[in-house]
Amino acid sequence: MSTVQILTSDGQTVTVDRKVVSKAGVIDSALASGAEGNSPLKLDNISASVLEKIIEYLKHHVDDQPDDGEDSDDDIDGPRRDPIIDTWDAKFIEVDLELLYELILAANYLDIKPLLDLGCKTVANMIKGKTPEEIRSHFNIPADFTPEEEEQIRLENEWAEDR
Amino acid sequence: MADQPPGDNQIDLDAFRRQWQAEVRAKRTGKDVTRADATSSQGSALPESLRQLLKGHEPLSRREEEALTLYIQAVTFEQESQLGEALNHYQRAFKRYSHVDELYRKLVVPLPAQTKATVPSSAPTTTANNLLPPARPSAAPTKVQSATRPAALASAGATPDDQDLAALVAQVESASEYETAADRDVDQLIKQLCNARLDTVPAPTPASAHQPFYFASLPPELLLVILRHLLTLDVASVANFSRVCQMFRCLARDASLWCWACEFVFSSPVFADVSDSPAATTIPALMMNVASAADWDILESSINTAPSRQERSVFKGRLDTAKPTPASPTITPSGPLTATDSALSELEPVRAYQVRRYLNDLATTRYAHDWRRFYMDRPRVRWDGMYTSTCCYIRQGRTEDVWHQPVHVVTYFRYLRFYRDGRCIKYLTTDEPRSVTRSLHWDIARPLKGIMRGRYVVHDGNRVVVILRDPAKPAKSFRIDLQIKSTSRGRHNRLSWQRYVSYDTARDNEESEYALDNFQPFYFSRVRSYSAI
Repeated sequence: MSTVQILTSDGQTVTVDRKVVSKAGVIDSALASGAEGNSPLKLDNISASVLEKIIEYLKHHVDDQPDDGEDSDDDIDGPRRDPIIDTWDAKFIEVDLELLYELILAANYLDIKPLLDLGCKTVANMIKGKTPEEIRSHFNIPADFTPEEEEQIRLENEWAEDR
Repeated sequence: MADQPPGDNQIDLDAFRRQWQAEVRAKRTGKDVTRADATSSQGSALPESLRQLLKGHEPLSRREEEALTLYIQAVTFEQESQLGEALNHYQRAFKRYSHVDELYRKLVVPLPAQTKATVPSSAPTTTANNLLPPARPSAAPTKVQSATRPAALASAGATPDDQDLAALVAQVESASEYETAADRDVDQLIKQLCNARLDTVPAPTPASAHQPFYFASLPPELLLVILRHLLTLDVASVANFSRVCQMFRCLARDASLWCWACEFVFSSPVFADVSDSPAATTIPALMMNVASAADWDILESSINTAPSRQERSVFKGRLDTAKPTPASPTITPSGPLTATDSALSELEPVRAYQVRRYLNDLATTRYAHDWRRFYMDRPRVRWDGMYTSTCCYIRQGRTEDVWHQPVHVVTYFRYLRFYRDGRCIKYLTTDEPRSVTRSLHWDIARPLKGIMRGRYVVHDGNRVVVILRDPAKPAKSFRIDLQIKSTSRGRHNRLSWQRYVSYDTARDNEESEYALDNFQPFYFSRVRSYSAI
């Protein structure tokens, strides 16, 4: 089993199983194009802590069916139940907002679709059922509407609300 | 014959008329003024630009230059609908230089390869004006068209067969080029609009400098992925999301989001209109025309089996049921697997293509390509809640007391819950909605009386057919025809009864229809714990 060395943005070198890390589309293609050599693979915008977390995720999912995109059969079992997140995944993604945000960005950058979906799904779950004001305060976003705009937007969204 | 110029071109037209008159006058004086007329009367735009064009190329002979000038005038005339004039000029141009059209195409219109083979370059000798059908699009002519138009005229002198062919080709060409040009314009416009909107909207700045501010600085494409997930969880939350700030509002109105939503909803096998084959072998088709015992056999086999994944694939048509289902099929019409991909990625390619084509057609013809409106307006059965029909009747109570007449007000409910994969469950009970919502799911544990399980399809836009079986009455099957309607409270939240029939398989499919007098319509109510899509 060959290993790969990865140089993170904060200058640390992490050694990983090649099999694990090639789950990430970008790294896989980098390795395939023969970029390994002796020098470690450089990931400029991923810090060691985030990489560690990602490797943890990849290790857990290393044996998933490659074609499944996501471990679909276990993750979501039809609309019978609510869209649920696999228990391990749910626990894995229980992180603070900062790390969650970094994970989403990193998953997007490294092309790890299941992780990107997991992250986005988690954020969606946070937003679900919240009022605009609650969303604003949760994510620290200010309102920038004039009262007229606010009214207009309320009207154009009326259809979605079940009264 | 060609004196019906479009009004907005009046000024140009007048200019050309003057120019033409000058030309005629000059002709009367017996001078060969072609060259002069090229430089003087037309002197404003064309020769200048022509000279510019010719700079890079080898110098033309005087004849060629004259011919080209005439040709350009002819093209302009043609664009002004002055076909007689145009033809005249074309003739003169070709007389001076028989390959002027090639020259024109080479120098004036730097265009990709034309279908030269079909356009004979011989000089036109006859007046074949009527040969030119008004292939002109109604919009103002573009530069692109001007390239093909002369080709049509140039063909006028060819043999009749060739003429027809050439005219046809030119017609098709100009039409298709118009389309692509128009498409390009529209695409560009849409792009501009989209870009402008997201660009003009300021990205939110943190409300409080002391708190971290990660979320809103995610790139828009990732926010859209989040929105897709949110849409599958709860549409109302998307509405709330759009009320957060300007940028979020733009995102929540993004066409790609709603297109994805439409594809996700209407790729469900329950929408028989979208369904690929109208053949009576598909379950939706069978369900719409339940009539014979043979239909029932097939339906029963699908209804009686447990809601396994294999069984779900039944809905995709007869083909799937015929071939042995793999132990764990990778394609399941289940929930949103990845919001990063197309909503149709879970379907077989052929069906995905059919669904996409159907939806695109519908979006274009009915909803002006507004996917959000499509999602809002298109009747559909909702999966994120349940439908309730409340019935109320008064029954006389018994009493010994003559002075006191008790009455019982009996209220009972019919609940309907639909699933995306085509299953539905009906529950007839006196229990209040509040106590039912939690237990109303397919695998309802208690063997309750009044539970019926079955299938449904949506056809002809807003018609719903529900086929149900009651475990307590195995010989009987029920068919309910419903119509999706809207109320003042919201869209598509009422199902009105159209027909309610039961079939008795034990008695040779005996059909008995219920009178609908006491059947109140179903009203939708959102249930938070049910998934939205």
